[in-house]
Amino acid sequence: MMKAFIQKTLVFLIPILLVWGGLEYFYRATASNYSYKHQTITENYKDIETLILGDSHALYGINPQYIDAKAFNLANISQSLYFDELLFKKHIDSLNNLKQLILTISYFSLSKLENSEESTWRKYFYSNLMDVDVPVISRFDVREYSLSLARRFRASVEFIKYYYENGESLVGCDSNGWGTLYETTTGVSLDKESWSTAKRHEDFLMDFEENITRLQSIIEYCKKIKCKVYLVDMPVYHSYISLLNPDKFQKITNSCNKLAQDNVNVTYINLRQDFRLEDSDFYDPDHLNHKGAKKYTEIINQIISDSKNDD
Amino acid sequence: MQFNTVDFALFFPLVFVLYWFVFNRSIKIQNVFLVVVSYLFYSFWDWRFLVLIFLSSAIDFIVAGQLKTSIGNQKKLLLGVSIFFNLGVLFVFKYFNFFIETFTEVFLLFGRPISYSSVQLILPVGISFYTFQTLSYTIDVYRGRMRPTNDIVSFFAFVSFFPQLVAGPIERASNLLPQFQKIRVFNYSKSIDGLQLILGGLFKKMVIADNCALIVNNLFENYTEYSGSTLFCGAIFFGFQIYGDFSGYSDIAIGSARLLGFDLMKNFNFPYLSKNLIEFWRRWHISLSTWFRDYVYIALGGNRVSNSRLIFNILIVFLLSGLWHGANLTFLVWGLIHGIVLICTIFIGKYAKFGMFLKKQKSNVIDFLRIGITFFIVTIAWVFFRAETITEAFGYLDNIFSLSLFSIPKGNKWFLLSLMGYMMIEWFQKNREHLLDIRHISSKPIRYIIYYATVFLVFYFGGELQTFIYFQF
Repeated sequence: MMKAFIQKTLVFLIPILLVWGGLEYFYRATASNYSYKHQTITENYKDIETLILGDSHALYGINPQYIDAKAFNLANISQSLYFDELLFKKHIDSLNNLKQLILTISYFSLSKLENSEESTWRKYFYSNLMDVDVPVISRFDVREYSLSLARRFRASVEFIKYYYENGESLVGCDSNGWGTLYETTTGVSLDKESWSTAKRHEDFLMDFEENITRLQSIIEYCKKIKCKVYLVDMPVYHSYISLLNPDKFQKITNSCNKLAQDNVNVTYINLRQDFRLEDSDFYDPDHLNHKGAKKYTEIINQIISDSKNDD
Repeated sequence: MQFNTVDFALFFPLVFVLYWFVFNRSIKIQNVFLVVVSYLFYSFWDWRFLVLIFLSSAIDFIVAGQLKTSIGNQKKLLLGVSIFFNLGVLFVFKYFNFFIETFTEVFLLFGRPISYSSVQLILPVGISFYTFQTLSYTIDVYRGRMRPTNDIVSFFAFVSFFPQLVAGPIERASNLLPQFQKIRVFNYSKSIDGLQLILGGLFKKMVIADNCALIVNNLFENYTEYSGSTLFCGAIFFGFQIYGDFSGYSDIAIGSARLLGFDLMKNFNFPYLSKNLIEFWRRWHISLSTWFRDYVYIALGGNRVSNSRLIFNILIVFLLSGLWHGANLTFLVWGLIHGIVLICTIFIGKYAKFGMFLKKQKSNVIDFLRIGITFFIVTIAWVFFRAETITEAFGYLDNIFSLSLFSIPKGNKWFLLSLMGYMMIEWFQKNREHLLDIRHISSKPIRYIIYYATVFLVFYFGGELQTFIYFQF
């Protein structure tokens, strides 16, 4: 009886196990932004003078092509300061020519928790595909050993669909790490989309202490290697700003200004409500498109050059 | 560790194999193994609270043992010790702040402000479930309905049995404890049934409840921004969320226990097909409603009392039931609504000619109508259950019963239609044991298509992982 039960159960499970195995192979064997960026940065350690870290605002908004000093964009979607710090510490000792670090600060960056909902599956990808030692992952967590278990099945199916639509590739960035997917606009009204984006980004958290400590740790390390740090508040659409907490925005500005005042190697570039912004610069309310990325990377590059001349 | 996680998908098969193949030499060894894995299972939430389960088990084991030889006041004292400890722990962790805050507000109302300091305590997962389970044992021994056990291991295994430890069913010692004291034999048919229950439970939890949760959370957080019709749909979605969540958990618990050779009591029996509230409470959270029936309602005199006393008894039971769910006025109001409507149902059935007429009718149309009315009442009461505060609940209802109730609701109509489709499946299955009880389908390929389709739905449409709602109780 028991034997028949186990046999039948195993036979029933075979198709499910095959799907699981196939997905696992797909995740491991197919290059994605994570694995591609990891491979590219390690191959170009000695050339990189500017490192860009941050979330999707940096990924799509700062194009290394328009920065004078050889730059690499190591930002990823929903990349928190927690992962920025882990990536920085992983690569910094190998980046011998690093002169400047650009780090974007978004509305949620300073309040984001190290184990937020968005990073629940991403942390396993950082660990497996970017070779980052992620302390919040337990050794007993099975998802550390199976990426297909880390993501929901529907998300995996959508990923495979995207793979075929994208010409059998999951890589959505160029050889400098810049995200190339946001070419023009989403086609939806920026005002309309601002509401849902702001709602998604409002975390009601005002405690910045942990993330400021992380930033301070990065800044201190940069001081030692004579590397300048640029904290950049990227441009966002005015309706999006109006729907979020003004006190929190003020606190972000104050915190970044304080970091810049307290540390000689830090410059705060606040482009949040920049006067040169045009609607056609946006892909959606909080991301720049190709045109916007070119325009604002050039502006950032100019500010960096000016600050160097001042020195 | 939650049932709907990969961790459990690895934990349970391992336990199954060790239980049947390695620790199967004697019941004692199997029971020791069950205690160990149950404590391990619980420790995934917070190992510190294992002390409470251990103490609760130890005190009730000792008290019940002493009850056997004691008489008179000594017997009452022993029962008092058990009740005091179990309800005391429950009070401290669950209700302390609620009562302190309520007292402060009452004093303030009479112009006598008092200062207090609330204690921020973490609520131990499943505390309301296992304290009620172990309490029922001492009460039954006190009443002479069962003999106390001398087998400490089986008693500890009974209290901490991992499939039902954190969210029930709240088992009676008379049903579950003897199962730990006899040899368990693997039963093929029961095991298949167990797997069907687990699969059906995962479907209810991951496809129905977790997807409803996303809609419900948004609607309750922003209820001022939506029309009455949308909010009414939100209340319906919550009804499905809590049903899918809790009955899904119960199904997985019963299924897992069945695979280990245990029969747990049925906790849900297609409750949304109830034709009145009396029937609803015979089908919804059966283990809790029968607990209150046996240990509170009957102790108060049951229904063989005067009408006024009957009303009082029912209201007490439902207020306690509300309070059991949580330390919040919203739960009390939820219980009160159920109590009042149930009293009305009893009296309509007893005295009104209309009630007699309804009882005699055997028409599907009238049945559907009665099911609809019962569902409507239950749905409105759920608003209080879900809302964070009484003000929020009334605000939500106020917005429902406005002119916009007759507008076209916003949101996912396909999902709402799918839920109606799901109810049709329940209707066809209503005389079966559970949702996936499809043994009557003779065609094996069709049965397998149903199984694989369910697996696919669970994996593909499974919403974001949400904690089981009843863990907070």
